[in-house]
Amino acid sequence: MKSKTDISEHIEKCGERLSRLCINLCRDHHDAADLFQDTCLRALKYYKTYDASQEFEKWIFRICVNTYKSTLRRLYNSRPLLFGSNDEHDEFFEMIPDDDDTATHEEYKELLKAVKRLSEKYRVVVVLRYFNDYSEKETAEILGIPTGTVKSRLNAAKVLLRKEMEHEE
Amino acid sequence: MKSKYNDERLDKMLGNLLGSEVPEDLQFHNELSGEIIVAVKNKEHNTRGKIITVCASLAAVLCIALPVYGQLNSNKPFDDTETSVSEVVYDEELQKSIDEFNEDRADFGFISIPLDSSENYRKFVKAPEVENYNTPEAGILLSLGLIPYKITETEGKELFVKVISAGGKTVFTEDAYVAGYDKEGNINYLLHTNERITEEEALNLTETDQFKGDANSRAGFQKIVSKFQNKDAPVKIDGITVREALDADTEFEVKTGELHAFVRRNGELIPVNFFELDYTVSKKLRVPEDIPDFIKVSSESGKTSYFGIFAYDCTKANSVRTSLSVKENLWPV
Repeated sequence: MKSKTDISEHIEKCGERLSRLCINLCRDHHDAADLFQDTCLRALKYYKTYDASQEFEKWIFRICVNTYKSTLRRLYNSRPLLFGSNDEHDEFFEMIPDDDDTATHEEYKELLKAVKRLSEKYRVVVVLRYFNDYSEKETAEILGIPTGTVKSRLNAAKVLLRKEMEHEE
Repeated sequence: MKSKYNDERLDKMLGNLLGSEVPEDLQFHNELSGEIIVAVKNKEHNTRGKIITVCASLAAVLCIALPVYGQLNSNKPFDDTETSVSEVVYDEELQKSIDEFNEDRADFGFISIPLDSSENYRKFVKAPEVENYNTPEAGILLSLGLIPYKITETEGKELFVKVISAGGKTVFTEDAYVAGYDKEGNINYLLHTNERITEEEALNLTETDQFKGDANSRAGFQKIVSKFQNKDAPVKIDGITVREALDADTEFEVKTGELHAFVRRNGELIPVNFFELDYTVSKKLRVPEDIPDFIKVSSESGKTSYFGIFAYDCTKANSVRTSLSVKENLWPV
């Protein structure tokens, strides 16, 4: 039987990754915090429907994406990309690995802008696929859409990102 | 010209950007953990008081998926140990059926929702007195052997609804049905409401065998919807061109909805889905005789509207889109 501490333990374990998912989905870190909280409250509400044989993380990620898509989407899409402060902005980009010559921080900033400009259906697929290195199949499971759709949306999203990035140069 | 951002590089950049660690002050769970524990305590307290296990019987049921939001947020908590069958049944006939068949609603995963008096509750009457049997919804219900039944005052009554496990899908609430079957397995009444009992919720549900076909039916319906949403290509259903490709500036709107239902056949709950497509364009695009009979067409002020309900038998490995004329093949009694 699930105890009252089960879910808080679960959230504690996947909290950082859930934070990351919220940040990636939202354009604004304050919205991301709201999304995180809303997701946790919904998870609480429906925790009794959680099947312990499933991965909790995928379960709550699905709730997070659904929450994003259903309730708060209007808010998220109405605001410009915003960091709470310059420090927050700098700290965010400093976390990006720079152990190779893949890209400059300027390029990452442009990429982040481009990702945030993607329409929801593309952004959600990109975020899930790359933030956690989920396979296309796993991404499809979380979103409840066919794997083929994930694949085609990823390809389309990358075409759009590429165009956006090259246009910025 | 070859792109500077080839697939491999873009993949790497996206992985670095979206997959990197989150700075400490942006790890929201650090601030939330205390809140969660409080919320859990509150929730447990409220839920225990509000969710009822109804010790009653129901010969057979038909219902759609409903999130439990309204239930958990009801202002009318009641104690499951003190609530008797007579206090919670929706109406006398339902009670009669429960007594007669000695079955337990809880076995079907029902949740009881208190109702207020509302004109939004649709009033059905028994055949042949039904006034409007020509709607697609009524047609589907009737083809399933469901006989609409009149209901009137709802004040103080309760509606029994069920959260259907739907393969991890989000289920939104639009309508609710509760139906009863007689001894021969025929549905002898149906209660229906189109009142929004609960708010739309991002409800996550786990997969069960009962609903294993849902993903197929949903995907099938989404495929149809996507055809209508694509301006650039003609829409063909069953080989018939329903709509030609649209001009770039043509305005159109696609409304969709879905209704999840269980039908009980031979002692088993059989999941079925109904999907609705409501589609309007700004000009007439196709002669009516080419439209399949399960899509209704109407024109007004230069606008052509299409409306169709697609039904799926979720028990099939590959769900089947169907019109009313072949439904008997899907749900044999």
